[in-house]
Amino acid sequence: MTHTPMFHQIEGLYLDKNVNMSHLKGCIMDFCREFFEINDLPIRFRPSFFPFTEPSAEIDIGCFKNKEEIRIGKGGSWLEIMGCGMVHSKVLKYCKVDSNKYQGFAFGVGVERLAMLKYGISDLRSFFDSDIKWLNNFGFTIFENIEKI
Amino acid sequence: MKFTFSWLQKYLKTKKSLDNICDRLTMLGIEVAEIIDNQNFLKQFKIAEVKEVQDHPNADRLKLCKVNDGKNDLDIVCGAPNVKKDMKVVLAPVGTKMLEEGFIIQKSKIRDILSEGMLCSEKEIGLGDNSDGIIQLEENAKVGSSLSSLYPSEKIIDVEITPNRSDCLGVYGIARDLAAGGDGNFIEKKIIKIKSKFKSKINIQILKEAKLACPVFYGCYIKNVKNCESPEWLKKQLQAIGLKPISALVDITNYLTIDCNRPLHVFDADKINGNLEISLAKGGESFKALDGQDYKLSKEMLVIKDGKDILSIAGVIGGISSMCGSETNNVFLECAYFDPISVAKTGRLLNIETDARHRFERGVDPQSVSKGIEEVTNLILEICGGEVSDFVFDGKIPINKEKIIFDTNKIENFVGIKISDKNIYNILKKLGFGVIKKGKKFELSIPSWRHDIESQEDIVEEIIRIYGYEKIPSNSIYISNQNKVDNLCQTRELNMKRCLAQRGLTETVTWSFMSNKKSKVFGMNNVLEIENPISNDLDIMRGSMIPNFLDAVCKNIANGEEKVCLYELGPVFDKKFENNQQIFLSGVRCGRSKKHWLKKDRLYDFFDVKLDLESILKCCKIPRNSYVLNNSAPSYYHPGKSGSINFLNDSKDGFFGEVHPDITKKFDINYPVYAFELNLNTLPHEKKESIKTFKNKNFQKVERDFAFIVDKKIKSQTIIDLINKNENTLINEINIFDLYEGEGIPQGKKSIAISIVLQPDSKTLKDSEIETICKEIISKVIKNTGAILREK
Repeated sequence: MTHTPMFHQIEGLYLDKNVNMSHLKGCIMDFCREFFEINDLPIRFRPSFFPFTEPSAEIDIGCFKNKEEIRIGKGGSWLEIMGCGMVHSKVLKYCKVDSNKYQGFAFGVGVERLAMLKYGISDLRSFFDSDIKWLNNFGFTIFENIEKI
Repeated sequence: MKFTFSWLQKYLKTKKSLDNICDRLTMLGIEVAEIIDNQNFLKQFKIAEVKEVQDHPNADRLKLCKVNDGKNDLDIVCGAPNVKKDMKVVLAPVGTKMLEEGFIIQKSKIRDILSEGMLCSEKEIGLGDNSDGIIQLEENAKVGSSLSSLYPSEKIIDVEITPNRSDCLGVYGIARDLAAGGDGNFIEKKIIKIKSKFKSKINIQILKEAKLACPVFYGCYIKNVKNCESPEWLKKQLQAIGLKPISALVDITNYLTIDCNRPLHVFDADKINGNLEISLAKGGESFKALDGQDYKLSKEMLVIKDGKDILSIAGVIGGISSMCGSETNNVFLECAYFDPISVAKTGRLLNIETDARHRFERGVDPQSVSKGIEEVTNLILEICGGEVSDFVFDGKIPINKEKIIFDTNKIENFVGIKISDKNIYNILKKLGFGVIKKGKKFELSIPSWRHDIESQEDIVEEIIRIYGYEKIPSNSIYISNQNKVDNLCQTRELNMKRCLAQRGLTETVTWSFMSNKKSKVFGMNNVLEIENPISNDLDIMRGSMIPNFLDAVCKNIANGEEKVCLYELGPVFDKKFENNQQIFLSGVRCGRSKKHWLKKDRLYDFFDVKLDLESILKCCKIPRNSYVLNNSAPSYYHPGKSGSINFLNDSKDGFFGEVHPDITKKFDINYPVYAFELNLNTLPHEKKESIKTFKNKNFQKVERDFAFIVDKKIKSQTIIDLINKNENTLINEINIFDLYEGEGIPQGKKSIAISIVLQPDSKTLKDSEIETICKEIISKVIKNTGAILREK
């Protein structure tokens, strides 16, 4: 089960005078490697289409696939994880940002999708089931990661 | 979209392998979803011959067949109505792995008779949709050889075309992109000019009202055609991508649709009354389409009519009344450009999905109107024979005259790489752009098939897409203030969550929806209904998290949990809220505490959730004197075991207490359930106060106890507030330590015992001073509540 009527999404936007696609690439690569805790995680950018970005890209990460499991990391297969691109100049115009001066990138990624991949969760519905056994399995202790906040 | 490598090779001269090409397609932005290889699958099946057919002794609908597979005669039970003696059939021998996952043909007894294989229908082997009977092969099919000899299957490339790239909905466009990417040479189509011999019997006219929806329409009349079976090459080409050949005229149009994204329509000319007219529907007309369905048309839908009837819904679907069949002698060909938005609207309203609609609504190449009609006419003349008329047309082919001035610096500025002018020139040229160098810039004219290109950014994408996304460098971003990412609200939310986790509650996320039926049980008004809910159980936005919590409690108890303590931070919806939603922090407790060798285990109670709520407020540094507790909780709480928290006069910013037992009963929960809710939108922010210097209060503190007999309806809080309002800075703590009703206390009264701690900070208190304070307290309580001081 990979679709539910509810999901969560993280959206990112970075605008400045000299932000370009190489920064987008750097930002996403840093994030993916940090999030999946794999330093040599293969990451692929490929052209795609989204109405609000131009150029647009989809991000694939490397994985190992067989009938039983999907393991993130080196392994010959690719898994699509998010979409991104340079903010469309029309979008900037409508937001009253001078696109001759400012440019930047945007991305969006599903929180549940990332968690499913990282922790091997196969059923999206389980996120919203409030099953205490499940919550405790994936739950984090009260002060985990406090140094990062 | 599906196509084969050999089809691609008609337009792309390449030395690359299929796998190589597929990788390249994905990196060009044409994502390969799947490479379908059914060769190994088809190899399993054998061409066989039915030698004998008898009725099954134990079943009316089954037959016993002797089937020869080239070596042996096999006994096979078959349920198909069309099985007969001497028929050439497709046999799935024992051991065949069928399409359905895990279905392997085995020797088995069917109604007591042994069957040594299976005879297959089209659907069972994925060669068509027919499942009414088994496949009847040609008489000359060679018994004993594998089915793959009849269906020389090629690998199918299945690509996902993004909505901006309608040009790649044809194999021709895909080949062009690959050639631009350096993966081969593009082979352009050569179209032979048509020589006509007569004037079309049928004329066409686009009515003024329809000119926006149909800017141009070409047609021609072809007489004396023979709608025969398609030639082998055409049948194979269509079969290879899973399309079933029907008749030459249909196959030719299907072929061109996939070949170069050029949908066309062929009318049986003898079924057309008079001339054709392209107009807008008046609304209310009914139309029988080629899919056999009757449709009611609405106003403004673009239609093609003859003197009598509507013949087709333009760009969406043709009609039964003018359809071609085997008897067709004369045809009229339609090749037009329809406005994408008009087609999309009509298609959506009528809910018709066709290849034509899919392509017209994404936009076909307007120039292909005149070229396409020539190409299809040539094919029809070649395959079906006949003679063609002059072309008739109305309207004008829309031409995009817009030029883009492209500054090559834009690439470095936007992407962070430098690409040489020569490289840029070559890429754009191969993609079909008109390129003129003007100083340091390029003046570009846009290919007719690329209506997605409008701005310099689009050009940047085209160039780097072909140049290679993988060549874009990666630069980390460094943000100097990354330590201050969280704002005050976020920090506070995090602290509150920690506080609740520390009190033993587990964070959860439940649906933002709930069922309207349940909201009635909870007595909720102002609910936000969902227009198009995913199910009846989730048809409104939740007016509180508690209904969802009750579901969670129920499920967890059923799973054998002895206690369920959950909290959630998220939106709650109500029409009375600004923007219909506010953020709440809510929690639930049900069940009993853990067994312990020193303490008795107990059921959770009212005071647990009250403390949960007070702990949150304390963690937000909201002082006790900034809110008032009332007993004005909503009706879904127990009227006597609940309360509200109010920052302003009865503002009801939060609730706590036992969920009404009538409600928990309806959820089949046999334990009391306690809950709390706090609106974070109205929660006041902590006042930043600097910490006072610590003064050593090393003077003896004094504790005094009082017991008052008061009316039952007097709230203990009232008494505490009264004492507090004494404004005596010496009073440091007030605690209720006993509550008593019964023997010795008059009916309708209760006894409340309070202990007060006095803490002097400049001198030790004298007995007389203590006495004065006590008297003040007693008289104030007596005066305001009518209390009687209980004597020891």
